[in-house]
Amino acid sequence: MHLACIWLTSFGTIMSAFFILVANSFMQHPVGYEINNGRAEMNDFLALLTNGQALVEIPHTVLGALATGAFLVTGISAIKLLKKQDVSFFKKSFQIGITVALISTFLTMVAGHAQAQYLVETQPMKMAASEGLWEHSDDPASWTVSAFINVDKKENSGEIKIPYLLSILSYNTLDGSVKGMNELQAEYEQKYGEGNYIPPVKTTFWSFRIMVVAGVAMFVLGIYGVFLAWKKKLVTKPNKWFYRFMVAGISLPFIANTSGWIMTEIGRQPWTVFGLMQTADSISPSVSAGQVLFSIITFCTVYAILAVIMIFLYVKVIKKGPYKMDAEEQKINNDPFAKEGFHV
Amino acid sequence: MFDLGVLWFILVAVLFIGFFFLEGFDFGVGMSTQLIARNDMERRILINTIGPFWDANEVWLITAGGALFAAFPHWYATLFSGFYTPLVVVLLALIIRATGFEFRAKGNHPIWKKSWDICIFLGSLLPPLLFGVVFASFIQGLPIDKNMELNAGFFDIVNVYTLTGGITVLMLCLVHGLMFTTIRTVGDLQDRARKLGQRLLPPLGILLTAFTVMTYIKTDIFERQGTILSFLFGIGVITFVLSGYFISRKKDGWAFGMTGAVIALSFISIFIGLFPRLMISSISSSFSLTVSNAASGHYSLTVMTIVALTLLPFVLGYQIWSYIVFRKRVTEKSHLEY
Repeated sequence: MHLACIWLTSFGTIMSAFFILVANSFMQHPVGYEINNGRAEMNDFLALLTNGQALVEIPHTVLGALATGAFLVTGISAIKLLKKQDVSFFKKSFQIGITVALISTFLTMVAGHAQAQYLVETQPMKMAASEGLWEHSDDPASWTVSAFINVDKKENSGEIKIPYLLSILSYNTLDGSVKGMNELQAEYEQKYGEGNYIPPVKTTFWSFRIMVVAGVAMFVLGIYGVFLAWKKKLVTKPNKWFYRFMVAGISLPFIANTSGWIMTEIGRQPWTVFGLMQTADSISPSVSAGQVLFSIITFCTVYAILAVIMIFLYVKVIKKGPYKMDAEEQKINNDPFAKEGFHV
Repeated sequence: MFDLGVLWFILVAVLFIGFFFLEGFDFGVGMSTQLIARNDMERRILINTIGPFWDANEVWLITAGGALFAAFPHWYATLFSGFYTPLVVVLLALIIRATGFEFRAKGNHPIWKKSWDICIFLGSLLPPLLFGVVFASFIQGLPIDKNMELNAGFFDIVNVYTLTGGITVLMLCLVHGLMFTTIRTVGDLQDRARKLGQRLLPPLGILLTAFTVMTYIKTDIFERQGTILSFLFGIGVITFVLSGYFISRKKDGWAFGMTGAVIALSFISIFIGLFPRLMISSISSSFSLTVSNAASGHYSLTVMTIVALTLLPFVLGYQIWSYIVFRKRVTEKSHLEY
């Protein structure tokens, strides 16, 4: 029965992620609607569920969440292994955790790759911005590792590039070019009218890079950890530095997730729903700036306080170690299904 | 063909009524932690009476909000923009209440416990008060313009009428919660809950009557639906008197059922008074939001109806099941999770 509850929780979580991301995918790539009297009305539920955007975004996000959980478990196990507490228990949890971490990180990358290719087709502007690409790229296109971006002059300096990589990222081939922001701006002006259709380039560019670096770091940690577990050297060999890295590694998936979302949401600007509704048109006219400020300040305050409390409680729980039923608790075990609970 | 907009109006109404019936008692229990509990153990017992239920009850509100968003996007938009600040306060109150329940027992320092106690009390007191104000202002009418924009000033939302509505809902939840406590606890605590519940019934009766009279004078809902509303009011009076009778006879379960019925009847009356309007415009009746001008497209409603009818039996099933599993009374010897 308890096991069933775990599976139901897992199933419910995935369903909820599924539908949230279906909604988000509509904003990235609207499908299954028609415009009636100036408002978009759904006319094809199935199209919404099988939105190409959703099909790449959902695995990327859900696997990323799995990696986050796995790194948390592994990182906490690493703390305990460093302190040599409950070694056999945490060795096991480390083994399971690191395996899940490696697999899910790898699959997240595969899904992310597919998502990037979908991006080239549906939101080339976001792709161009995340590459800091002003003009049409060379063919084959190289991937920019780092650059100083000057948004006013619309040019970059000090670019470091890896040849072929952008072509591979975009098309899985060694050739092919990618459109730049300037030509896309001209295209969009023709299609949607006057306006600035270039998102904040620096934010999009750097958030993408932060995500990729964090992801690669997770992957490397995962490979080394699985290697150690494979060779059964988790406990026998002194791995102090590796465990310290794993503890710090708890932060990596959080960094990757956050910067990934920053990239996808900032990179979509100026649109709320791509091609249909701009952010500037999405404002509620009857809500004043003061009211919004009030809500932002109060929510930030409450969440900051809660974050401190959460960390305090986390540390407390981690220090306490794995749950063991002591004799006292076993006596008053009040599982509703135990003993007399069922017949009245 | 049956109008799906009407069906969804009924569904939204059912969700809100279910929310006030269920979450009503755990708001009440939350408030009573400061009114009838004399020590930490009693507070913990009170919190544990609703421990397994309160979050599932809260989901009724989320579902109601979600149904509003999906079935009547204009209602959702006008409501959540027009009532931005009060609803932000409701949300904050629900957050500190939930964290209070979850965190209170995870520390032992008196300041830790005291702080969460305050959170639980305020978090249980503010939402019913504000919801009462919001629903009263629904039937009172609000300055909604021709673009369905609600630009309400402070006194459009907060005035004698809506405040009476707010305090009435607050008292209803408190008494309902005390009745719930009587069926989930034993001994001293149970007696105190029963006694306070009994003491609060007369003022609650006065509030309910006053609010009904003010509604008769201030709003048009009795003009529109006079017969049925008077009928419901009559039944309300009977159930209310019965709740007093049952509690004095220590038939706690029946008394709880009756206060629940009073809550349900009150909100049924509000929704019947509104129908087919969703939010009433005080500027011009043609600006009011209605079942037809605020609804989603027909296709959306059809899909939603199919999905909702498929999932509803499961959701109701496991909620009822959770009440059956946790039906034993909470005592000092129980496993106190919270």
